[in-house]
Parts: sequence; C-alpha cells; structure tokens
Amino acid sequence: MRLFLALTLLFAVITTTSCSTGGGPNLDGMSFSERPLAGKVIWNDLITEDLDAARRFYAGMFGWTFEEARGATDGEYLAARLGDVYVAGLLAVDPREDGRRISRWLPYVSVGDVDEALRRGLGAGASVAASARDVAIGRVAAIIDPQGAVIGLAASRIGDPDDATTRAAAGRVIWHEMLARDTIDAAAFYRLIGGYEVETVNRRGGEYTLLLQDGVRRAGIMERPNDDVQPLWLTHFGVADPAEAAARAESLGGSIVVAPSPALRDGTIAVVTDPDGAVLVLSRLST
Amino acid sequence: MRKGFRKIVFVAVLATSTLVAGCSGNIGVGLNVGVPIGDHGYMSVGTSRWW
Repeated sequence: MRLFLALTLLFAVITTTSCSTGGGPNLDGMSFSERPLAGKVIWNDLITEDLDAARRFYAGMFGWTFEEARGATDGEYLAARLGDVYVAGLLAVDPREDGRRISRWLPYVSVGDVDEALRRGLGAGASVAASARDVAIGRVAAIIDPQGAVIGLAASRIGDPDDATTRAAAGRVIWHEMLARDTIDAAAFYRLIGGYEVETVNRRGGEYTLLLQDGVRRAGIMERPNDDVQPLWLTHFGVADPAEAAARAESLGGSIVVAPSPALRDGTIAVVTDPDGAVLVLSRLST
Repeated sequence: MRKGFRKIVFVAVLATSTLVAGCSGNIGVGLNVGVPIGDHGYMSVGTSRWW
C-alpha cells in the first residue's frame, strides 16, 4: 500500500511539472500581456531550405542558441533564444519543385481572432498562404496581402509577449516595415486586419506611414524604392554597427543586398540575405 | 525495500519519458507558406527613397 501511494504521488508530481520545466520551453525570462496586443508582431519565423546553414549564420550574427521545438506542423523546427528570451523560430522546408526560392522571414501579427482576421483579409483582396490552424503558440494563419506581401496572423494562447520582453536590443527583432506598391491601400488593409491607428510622417524628404497601437509604433509602410521590388515585409534586427554587421553577414555565408551608406537612411541600415537567400535588415540601435 | 525503490525509479523514468515526448511546448509557429520570394537585388536601386 505504501509503495502504491509513493508511486501515485511520484506520477502526479511528474505529470504536473514535466511540461513546464524539462519538457516545455523555459519562459521565465519573458512576460506576457493579459490581453492580446492586437497589431503587435509577436513572433517571427525564418522559413529556410537549409536549416544547418541558418543555424550557423544566426548564431554567428546574433549569438542565438537553439532548442528543438515540438509543435510545428510543417517540418523540423528550432526555437532561437537570446539570453533568457525566445526571439524567433527556424523552420526547415523542402525546396519547391519549380526551383523558385522560398526562404524568408515571416512576422506574425497578433489578432484577437485569427479566423475573423482571415475572413476580413480575404474580403479585402488577400489570399491564403497557410490556412488557419492550431500550433504550439496558439491559432495561426498566413496571408498574401492584396499587393503580394506575405504576413502571418496569430492569436496566442499564453498571451502576447509584452513590450518589456521585446524591447529593442542587439540581436533581437526591433522593427517591421513593408515596402509597398501603394502605401495608402496598404495602410487601409492593415488597419482592417490589425486595428491600427495610421499616421503619416514626413522624413528625409518623403512620406513614411506608421502603424500604431494605442500610440505605440508597431510597424511602418514605405513606398518600395522602385517598381521592380516585389512588395514585402522586411524584418529589422538590432545591431550596434550596420556596416560591421553586414561584413559579418558576408563572412558567414550571407550576401549584402544594400550596403550602408549616407544615402540609405543616414547609414543606419544595411539589407543583407542569409546563406539561403532570406532577406533581413540590420538596423542600428538608437542610443 | 530495494525492490520497491527500483519500481519507483522505473515508473518515474517511464512516466517522464512518456510525458516529455508528448509535450508539445508552447512556443513557435512553424508554418510553411511556400510563397516564392522576389529578386531582392532590385532593392539596391533607388536607395535614396528609403525615407
């Protein structure tokens, strides 16, 4: 009888602790909002055809460490950590049969109801990139907006990482920016999806559109630099020195698309690709 | 007594393995959108328009 009780007790303890300690992610360094932060990008996935190369590249670029994560539905998946915060995910995918490259960074915007946001998006001219489904973080989907940019939608079941958790720092995602064919149409679309306030500011001789949530800047929209650029969402990563970081990206197997220069936002950004062609922006942290 | 202790250890290991394997965690997404990317090289043209 005593043995039976001991076994029962042991099983109960293991049952209640395994997913929150050894078996699940350690979220001790992160805090989450009690209500959804609609319009905030709450997660970023790298979709890559070469997971090993991506792992080496981002470890070298930002000092990330990686944990194998369960819950991804579409392939091998690594959760990337910087210190005690999960900063992104890396998903391994097979190449397309037609050989066209698909490696990209994909931001996920918090929406209260993924299915409703998807319905609204489709009604406004978007198409489905990935249908709504339940995954580790909660319910998610991805859409191709009316201008062809791809973006994810997410409703987290554990709350959205708050602004203290995602504060700007080296090696973290610090900004999202769309290069749009039509900034007014894009702002209207994302207002519908994310419930943003929209503000247009003049800077460096041009207009820049800000998407805000309760006065907090969440993302930007800019007219694409030329008509040959496919509208897309760019993911910015914080660095101390964009020129040095771009050189490091090249030394790690990436390539420089746009080198930092005084003509490019006063030298504050560089656009590079990782070894598999996913584009990212290296953005100087504000001091 | 030693036999009982072995049983406890055995059950603990078995239960832990089972539960950890079945735990999906709660971080990350992992959707493959499979949408081709454009030619990023074009971004280098018109950099003075990066307001």
